[in-house]
Amino acid sequence: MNRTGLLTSLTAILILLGLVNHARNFLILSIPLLVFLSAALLFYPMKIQLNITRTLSTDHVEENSPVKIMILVENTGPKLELVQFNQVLYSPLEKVDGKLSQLTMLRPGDKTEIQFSVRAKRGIYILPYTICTAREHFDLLQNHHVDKTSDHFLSLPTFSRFRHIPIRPEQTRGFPGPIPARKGGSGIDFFGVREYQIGDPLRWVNWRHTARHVEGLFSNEFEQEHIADVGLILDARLQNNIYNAKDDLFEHAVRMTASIAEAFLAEGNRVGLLIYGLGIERTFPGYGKIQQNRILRALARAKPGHNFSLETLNYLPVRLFPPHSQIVFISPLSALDIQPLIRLRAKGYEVMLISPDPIDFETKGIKPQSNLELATRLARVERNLWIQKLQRAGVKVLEWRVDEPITAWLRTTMNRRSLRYHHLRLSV
Amino acid sequence: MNLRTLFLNACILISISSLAIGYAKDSHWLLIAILAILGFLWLIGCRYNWNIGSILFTILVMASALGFSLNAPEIWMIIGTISALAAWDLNHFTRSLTMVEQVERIDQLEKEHLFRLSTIVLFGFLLSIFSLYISIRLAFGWTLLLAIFAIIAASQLLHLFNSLR
Repeated sequence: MNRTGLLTSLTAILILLGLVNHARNFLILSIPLLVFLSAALLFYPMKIQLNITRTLSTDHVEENSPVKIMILVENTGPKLELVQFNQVLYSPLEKVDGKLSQLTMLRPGDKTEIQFSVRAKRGIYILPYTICTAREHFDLLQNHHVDKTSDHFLSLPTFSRFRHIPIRPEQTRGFPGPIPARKGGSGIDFFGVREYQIGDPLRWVNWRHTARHVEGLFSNEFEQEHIADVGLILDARLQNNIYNAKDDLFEHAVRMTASIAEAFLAEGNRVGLLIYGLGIERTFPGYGKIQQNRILRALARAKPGHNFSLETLNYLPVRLFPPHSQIVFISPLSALDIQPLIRLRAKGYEVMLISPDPIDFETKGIKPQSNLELATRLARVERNLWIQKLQRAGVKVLEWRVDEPITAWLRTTMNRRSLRYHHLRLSV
Repeated sequence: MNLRTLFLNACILISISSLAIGYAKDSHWLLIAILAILGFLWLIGCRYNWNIGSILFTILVMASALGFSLNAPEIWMIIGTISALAAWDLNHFTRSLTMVEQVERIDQLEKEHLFRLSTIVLFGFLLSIFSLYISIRLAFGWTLLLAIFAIIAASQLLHLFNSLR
């Protein structure tokens, strides 16, 4: 029973006892309680007129970094003898410092401020309402005021910085960059030999080739290096996501996407993003820091979801990306994805699959059981078959164990891959 | 020890002592011992922030009513009730100050609260003393009518207070 109920009940009991027993003493005993109740009614805060302004130190931060929030309250109404402010935080938001509740007294025109910092995992967060409770001194009667201004901030995914991700799409853009353009011209890597043209530097002349052919001079040609169009596709389908009590595979995929986007954009490439899951969320291709910010914001909002029509990759809107461009698909991979990826490759896109290893992730979250090893081996065999199928179709597959640091993994994997590219190119 | 805690402890002690004095007149030593234990419990509860104020306040009001039935001196019973009421309120006020993370202008809040409480308590006490010397004889019909009116008024008041909370 609350205080008001208790006091009213006690008063009523005393009055009734007095009336029933014809004993004035009980009635006298109820007088102080009645006075107390009357005082509460007399000083009840009828009106709450508060001007509440909330200021956030920033509207976006890196994952788990603090955001300072300042709530400034001005009393534009009558005096509030006791007023309590409560800022409710829901579970992913974690208070770092400051105070979430404050009790004070506000005279007309008085101001007060509440400051606190919160941090959160990746996502978009709307700060809940601030609840103001005004009451008289005896706390028998209260009046509530809810500030309905809603502020939000984005907790952007953290990313690792990669030095270079070697890709080799069929089509590049016209501007100089780091991607081999499959075109002869000025560059670093040897591309071929052609007839000497006026203006070629003498050190380009291939003297051995010239010695074997009497008809003229031949000079070396180098491979041009341009920027490229890169399309990132993040698989956000719920059926492909695996999570345990501590961790979520999708979070690792998001961080990987952010890292890759940063790496490609830092080299000057044009990068676009497609998040395929609950719906299809597009970030149209663009360059530079602004595009990186757009991609990070889109990734901050990304959530795994289920959509029956998007269970397979058949409706992947690849027209978002220019033909023959590089597509990087970040997904744990399922059996239904093999054919659409092979089709994508057949259409001329250079496809790279970066796959966080779901088997390794899942087995680490399960207690050791008698047939776990056998089940893991079977799953591994199946997955290897899918990967082999994709590799045969020309899809570059990079498998990644999520507990491995991204930077170290990429350094070793990409070095191997780049060597393979080199060998491929030389053998053509 | 600040002024609020001093007031709170004083109110508890006054309430228990006045009820005990009232009971001592007819040598109800068992009741006095129970009251002493309750008072001690309340003091300890205040020290460790236990939420027992409402229960003890109810018991003390009932003890005052019992005192009237046992023909204990009225004045001590009234003082006991009023002090218990003040202690109950101060106990809640102290708890509400500790429940929030930050309290601004705490000195001013405390002063205003103590002033308001003292005024109300004094007014209630004077009104109770004054009513000791008033005697109105009511016929049975009037008593019944007033009882019905009291029940309706109490339920309405409770409803009103609940809607305002």
